[in-house]
Amino acid sequence: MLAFFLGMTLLIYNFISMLTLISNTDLRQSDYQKTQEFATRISNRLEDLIGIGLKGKDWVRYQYSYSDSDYAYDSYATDTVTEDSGTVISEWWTSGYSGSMSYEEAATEAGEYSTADFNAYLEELKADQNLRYAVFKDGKLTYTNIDGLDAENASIGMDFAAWIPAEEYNFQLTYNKDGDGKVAMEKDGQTVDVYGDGIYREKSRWAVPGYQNFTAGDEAKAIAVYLAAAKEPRLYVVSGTNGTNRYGGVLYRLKESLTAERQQLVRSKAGLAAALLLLLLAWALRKPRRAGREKITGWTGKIWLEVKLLFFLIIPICLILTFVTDFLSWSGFSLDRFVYYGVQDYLPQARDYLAFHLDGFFSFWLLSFWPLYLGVTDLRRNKGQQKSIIGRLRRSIRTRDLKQPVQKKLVKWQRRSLIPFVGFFYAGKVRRLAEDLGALTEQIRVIRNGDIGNALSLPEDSDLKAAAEDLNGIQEGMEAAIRERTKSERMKVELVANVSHDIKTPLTSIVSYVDILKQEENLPEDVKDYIRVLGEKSERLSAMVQDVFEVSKAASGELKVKPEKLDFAKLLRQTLADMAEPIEQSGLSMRVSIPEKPVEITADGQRMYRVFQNLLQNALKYSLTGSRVYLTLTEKDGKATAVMKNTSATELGDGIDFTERFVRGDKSRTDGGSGLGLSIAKSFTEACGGSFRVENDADLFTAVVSFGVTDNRKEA
Amino acid sequence: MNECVLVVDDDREIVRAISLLLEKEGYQVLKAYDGLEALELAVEKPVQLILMDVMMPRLDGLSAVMKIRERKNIPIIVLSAKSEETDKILGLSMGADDYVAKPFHPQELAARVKSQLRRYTMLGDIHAGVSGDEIRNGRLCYRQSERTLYADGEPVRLTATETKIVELLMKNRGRVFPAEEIYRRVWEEEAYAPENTVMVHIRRIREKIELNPKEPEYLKVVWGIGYKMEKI
Repeated sequence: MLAFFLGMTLLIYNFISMLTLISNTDLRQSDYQKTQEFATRISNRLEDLIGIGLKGKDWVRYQYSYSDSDYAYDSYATDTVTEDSGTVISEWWTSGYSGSMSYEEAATEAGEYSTADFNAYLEELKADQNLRYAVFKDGKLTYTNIDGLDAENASIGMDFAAWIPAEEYNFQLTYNKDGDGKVAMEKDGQTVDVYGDGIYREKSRWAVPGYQNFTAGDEAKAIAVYLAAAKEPRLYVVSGTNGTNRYGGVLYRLKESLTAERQQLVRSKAGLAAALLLLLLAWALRKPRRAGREKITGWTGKIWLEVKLLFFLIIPICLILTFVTDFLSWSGFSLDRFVYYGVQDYLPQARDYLAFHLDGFFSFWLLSFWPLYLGVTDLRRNKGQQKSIIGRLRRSIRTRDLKQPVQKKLVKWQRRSLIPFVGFFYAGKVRRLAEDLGALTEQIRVIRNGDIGNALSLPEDSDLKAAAEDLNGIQEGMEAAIRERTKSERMKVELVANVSHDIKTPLTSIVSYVDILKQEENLPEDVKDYIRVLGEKSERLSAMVQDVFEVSKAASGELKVKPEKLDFAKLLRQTLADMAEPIEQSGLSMRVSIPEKPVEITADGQRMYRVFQNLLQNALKYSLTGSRVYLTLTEKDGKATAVMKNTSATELGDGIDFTERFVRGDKSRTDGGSGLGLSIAKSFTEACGGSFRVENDADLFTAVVSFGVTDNRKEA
Repeated sequence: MNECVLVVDDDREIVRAISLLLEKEGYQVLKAYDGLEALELAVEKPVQLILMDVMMPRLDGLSAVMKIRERKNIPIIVLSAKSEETDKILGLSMGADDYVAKPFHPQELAARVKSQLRRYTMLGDIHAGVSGDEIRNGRLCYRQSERTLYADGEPVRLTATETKIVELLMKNRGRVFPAEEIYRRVWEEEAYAPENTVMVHIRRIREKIELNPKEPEYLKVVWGIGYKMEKI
């Protein structure tokens, strides 16, 4: 997320600065001499030198003095302009007159210009050693800043190389050398093409006389100028009227600013590259970024919409307004003009303004980008979930999404009750509805608690009448359902009872006849054995029938238990005592840990005896021969828990619920057990209010029976 | 012996089986297959005991019992496939002396028949309770002077400890004694594993006095509390 933030910031910053700088084509040049600015400066300097040569101090005066509203140019170009050169030229060169003033008038207007000032100006020119010049009037040297040059030894046609080393001053210009009013230039020994096709256009690099449509005029034919520009402009120290100053001249300044701006460009490029890298990184890390976004939108989601709107939109808008007002004042906005001429009129000014303020703009972009970004991501993510005060208000009085007429009414009343005077009436209605609502919720609670006898009746005109009637319907339905269920439960028990009853009758015969057979004498041994088998099986059948009957009763809750207070410890001891013989005969050892002091529980003693008898019988029957059976009774946190553990002789499977009816540990065993024992035990225990569970861990079989300890104090 | 027993059941096979059983014991057996027949036979013939099934056509067992009771006082044992407490209570309150659920152990049935007959023939129509020396409780009668317990009029051979226990419980019929107390009173010392010892003795007593030691009617365990002699 951070990468993204930085990346975007840098991108915007550098993009803007790049734009600024790129628009200046001059920056492409590393050699300052190749820039347009250079050309412009040289052209200007040439003009100045020609002007000085022609008019001396008057030229300077007019050049450098300004009047309030207009400034005077001297023009020494002719008015001859050709059609295809565009009107720009004539404007530029001939607009020396402001309005209808003549040269002399304008000159007078401009005011006096002292010789001292002129000399100071000349000194300045001379001091700029980066730009060497020599001005000739009528072939004679008038001004120069080349040391050693004087009227005697100088002429426009001479070879200046002796005074001006070509390595240092690689740009040389001569004007009117051959009397043709043209300019010749040389750079690094190469001739420079000045005029192109001879037509001066706005785009032409050199604004110097000598074009077909741009000449210096006849007057200027008397002047010849030599100019040399330094390859590497340097700083010069000058003692002037203001003390010692460091001075570089226009070329130096040009070079410096070019260098500076180029550096700036490089920095921008670097910044841009970095920005792109960061953005790439941000893209690579888009998953964490997404998470980051989620987090941020999580926070922003919590802020109310109104606040967000304020923050995210108002700030950028304010910034825009600042700029706009600034622009308007800067450009001298007038509503009439705007209305009359439209936006067109202001477009060029707007362009200029933008160019001017581009750097300021970047900070604007930055400041407004992030709020906008946050705003947009927030909207995207939290669509529809905006917290808003207005939203809440709206929702609270909205009725369209309420389906129930009651709901609609209530909200409408609520709305209206806010109106003064009339409001009281509606407030009263709301109150009445609240009362009915109370009755309804009360009734629901009553039904839930099990009392399904009484129906609720609300007055006819109550808005909840229908709801109350529905509730009553539910009540009736519940009653009917309960009745049905009890009936079906009873029927089930009756069914089992009847069936087991029907089974018992023939069973009785079997048992009786087997008994008779047993008493027969003179039977062969194997027949006696058969009779014995018959006896055992019929015995087992009897037991099963009884078990089934009991299980069905227990399961349907028909089992009648007589809960009474008894000592759990004693119960266990009695059971063990009762089964002392079978225990002894089984060959297993009991490991018993039962506390001495009483552990009082409330249960049906007879039933619980059956439970433990069953558990013990199971242990005796199914334990590994010679192993131990563990029985413990513990009391903790108000619960009394008896745990019996034994090692199974056969492998017990995983995930079998032994307390399910007819589930047996060893499916193949067919002696004794019906598989109902544990099921009955569980039903009995639970009917007495206790909990019963069995688990097996590998060969260890555990049975856990627990009851809540009866608190004696509570009884009192 | 040679008492006459009336066996009533709509299931002919059962009637035959029971008859065989009883005849082996030396009783004379009369058969009936519904309540009306039973009523006739009971009234006309010299029957000393009736074994009555409940579910029968024409006249069911319990109504028959009621009717017979109007005339005769002979012991009636009700046989029924229904084994619920309620059924038992109903049967007994109708006038039966005993209630046996099907399927029954034939030997147990025989024992009960014997017991009822002995009481009827020997002891007549007697009330339970204490009268002088004797403490009577259903089948049991304890003569304090003799320190002997009689079951169905026959003396029971008990050891000294067993007699002491029986005496204690008979004198306090219906009262539940925790094992510690029984031990203390009988052995006259503090117990340290009373349940086991007491239980062993009670088991032995049961074998001797109960018709079905596995389902004792007199010497009962009150689980979690102690032991008692049921008051019949």
